[in-house]
Amino acid sequence: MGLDETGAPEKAAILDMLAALATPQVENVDTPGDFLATLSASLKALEGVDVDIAGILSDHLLTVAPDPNAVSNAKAAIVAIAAKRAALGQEEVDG
Amino acid sequence: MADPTLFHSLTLEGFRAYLQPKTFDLSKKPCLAIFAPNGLGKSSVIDALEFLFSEHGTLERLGQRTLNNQAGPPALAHNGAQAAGIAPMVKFTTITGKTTLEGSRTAFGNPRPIHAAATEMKAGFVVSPLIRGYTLRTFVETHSPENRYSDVAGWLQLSPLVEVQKNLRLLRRDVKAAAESTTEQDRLAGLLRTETAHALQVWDDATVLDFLNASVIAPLDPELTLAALAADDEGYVEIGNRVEAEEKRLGLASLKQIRNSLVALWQNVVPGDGGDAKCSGAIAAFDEALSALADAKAAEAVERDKAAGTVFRALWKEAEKLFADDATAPNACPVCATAIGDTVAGSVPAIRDLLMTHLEDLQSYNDAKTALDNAENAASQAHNQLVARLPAMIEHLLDHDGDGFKIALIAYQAGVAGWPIGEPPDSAAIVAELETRLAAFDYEISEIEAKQGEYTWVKAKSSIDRLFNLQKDVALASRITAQLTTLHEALVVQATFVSGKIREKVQSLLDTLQEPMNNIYKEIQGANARPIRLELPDEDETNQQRMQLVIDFADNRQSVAPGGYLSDSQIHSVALALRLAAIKKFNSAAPVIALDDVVTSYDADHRRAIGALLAKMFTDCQIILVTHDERFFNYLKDQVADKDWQYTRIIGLDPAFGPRFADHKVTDEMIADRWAKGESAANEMRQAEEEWLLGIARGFGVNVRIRQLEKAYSYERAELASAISGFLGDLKLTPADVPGVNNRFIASLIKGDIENFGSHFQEAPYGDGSIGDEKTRWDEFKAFRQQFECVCGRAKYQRPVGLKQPVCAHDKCETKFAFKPPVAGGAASEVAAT
Repeated sequence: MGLDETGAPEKAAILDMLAALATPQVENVDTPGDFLATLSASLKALEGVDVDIAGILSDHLLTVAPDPNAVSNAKAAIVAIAAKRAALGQEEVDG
Repeated sequence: MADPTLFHSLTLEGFRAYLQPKTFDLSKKPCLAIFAPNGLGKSSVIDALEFLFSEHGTLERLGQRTLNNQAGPPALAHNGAQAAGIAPMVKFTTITGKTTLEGSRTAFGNPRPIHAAATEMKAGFVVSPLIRGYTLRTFVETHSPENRYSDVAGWLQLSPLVEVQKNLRLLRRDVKAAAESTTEQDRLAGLLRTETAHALQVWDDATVLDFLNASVIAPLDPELTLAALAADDEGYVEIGNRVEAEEKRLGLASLKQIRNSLVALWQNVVPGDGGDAKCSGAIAAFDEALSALADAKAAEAVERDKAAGTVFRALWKEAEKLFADDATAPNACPVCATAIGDTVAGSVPAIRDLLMTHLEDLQSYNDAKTALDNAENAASQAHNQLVARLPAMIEHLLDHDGDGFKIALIAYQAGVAGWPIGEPPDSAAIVAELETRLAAFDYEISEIEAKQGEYTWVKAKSSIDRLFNLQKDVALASRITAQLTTLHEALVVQATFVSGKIREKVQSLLDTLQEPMNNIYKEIQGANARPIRLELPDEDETNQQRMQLVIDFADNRQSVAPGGYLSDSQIHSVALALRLAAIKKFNSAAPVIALDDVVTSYDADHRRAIGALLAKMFTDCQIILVTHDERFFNYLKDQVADKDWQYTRIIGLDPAFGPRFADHKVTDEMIADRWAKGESAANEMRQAEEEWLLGIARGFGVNVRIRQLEKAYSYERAELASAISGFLGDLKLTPADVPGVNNRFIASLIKGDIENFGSHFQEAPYGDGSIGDEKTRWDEFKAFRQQFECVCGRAKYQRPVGLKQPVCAHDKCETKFAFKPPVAGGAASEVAAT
């Protein structure tokens, strides 16, 4: 570059830095996507969990890139389930 | 684990402040520090890094589109790039192990896709490597605990988790609202009020049953009641029977049936708005179709006459080609060889007119023929409809009705059946009789309905049926509400579970950062700084999206918010420490740190401490740093290892080029140029003095005292001046006094006064800092500096091991250092200390 104000010799220090970093400390960091996927699976595996609600949460909210209308969509899905279950109740009443 | 990735080079071209290509070569020295006053393009370098890795090919502060206060992606390009024919882009090279990858990203048009090499490097950024000073200030000055939580979660790439928590909260609220909503119940209650004439306000099975028995059924039969609101209730079945009997008894049903058959044949309808009456029914349609057919036949006959001689149609078509306007007409008739002049028309133009007339007649005939075909189809359809509807009416008529209408109608039917072979029958008499009978039916029906009164079994059953349906709707709405309540409870349970897990995740990450963060914090603020803890709210707190910074400030001030006890600078340090700790901890695959003006809120000691921090704790990171703080820039040069770092400064912004970098040390010309523009050159003078001082100290090999541990990397200029002065004193070398100055330079350096001023020459009572003063003082400095010039004209020295006295560094001179006598008249021409 020829801009260096220090005038210190250029000895490709970047290679030294890379060599020093060659065996960096390993950090076991899972991504938010991994975490949410695991969380979603854990939620569905909960005993006595309402699977429909768990499915809606997994599909609409437990994702790294939710739809801009994720909340509205999830609510609509829950209302639809309520209507479906209510209709099933009517069928039982009607025989 | 894979080799880490660093930048090998970075080129800005037509990007932000950079018009002409500017490459930063990081292949030798990986770390870069750029000093520039505000507005000269230093942050564009950090912008380039942000742009390279941004998801949508823009900068956060520009936004994805030009909207409201956001400049949008167009602001990525230099405003002169298009005119200069330069495609705005950022180029880069990465190095992983010994493998280098080149890439680029265009900064104009759509899309601006991220390069694969940048994607690869970005995968190593668990935490964003960019730290901008203004975000730290925001963290301190305006953020609530909720904002801070969001920020920290964002730095730790936990934004999606924060988003999940926020969405969960919104979903819980929305579903709860839906479960508690009474909109549907209100609507159904409105229908109930309408059906019961406001006798009932709210649905209740028993009340509705009482209403039906008392207000709907009892007026017709007080003995009949419904036992339940059910279709199989005996009372309801009986009501159905009574409806049927009622209609049979009154003959109303058959009357309506006959009337329907009549109006299917003919009805004269007078519009409600008083417009012209319009006939409807099969007879009216048939008569209308016959009329249209007659018109079409007449029109076709006229056109056919006009087009008489259609047998010559083919001939005319062929003749039209021969006598076309753009063709050479024949001299004689092609059929009979009669000369054109001897024909009836007599000339070619006359023949052309004749042909046109014949062909137009043919077209009119074609149109009339098509209209006739359509009219015949319409008449045929109307005929079919009439033939189909007549029998029903005939069946309803009695054989001996006295006036022979049935016989007349049968005769009409026979006439209709004989069409189109025979002429269609006249419908006038039939229509007149139908109109008379329709009026009689309507009168009879209205008489019967009037006699029935308000209470009829038909009306009663209709009301009961509507309430039965309403009952189903009310029940369904209640069940949906109940289901929503149940689902909301399940949602609360699951949302609590998810939120709890996310909270644990965030807290665990915060915990792992706490110790390194405090180590960095203490490095900046001193060993006595109280450790900071990062804590989420208690589990039972409703709002979990808050991050509390707490500190045990004193024995009687435990777990208190630092905002009330620490200075802004200290909290600023917390933000910086947290961010640096996160980058160091998580970004080992791409240990790059980009710092944009992060020391603006610090005093001199803390700026020096941050320089020391980078030198001490971040030697394993590639740091790209821009600052408008020259002291910090100089502190950095004093402290970090020269082999890893390169330094450069921007000295101006040329709109037709881009930032101009100082490719060399501050020269007398640069200072003179400042003055020529009427600007102060105090900073340049100070820089030149420092560079000269350091060069002499290095060349002479002076002794510098061991510094305090906390300032292990700092070189106070006063220390250097003192060391030079002591060194010269030991050699019994004394510079000559500069007239009017008396070596105030060395004296002021030793005193350390220079630390507090842009230029040490500003020390009172020596001057007022005007350009005139600067020029005077610069001349004095040059006069003083000139004394260090070697006899060979150079001014660079060295002191090989074993020698007490420095010698000229030029290997063909090597003259021992001695002060050069000052030139009379002040500043003399001299050679810059290179």
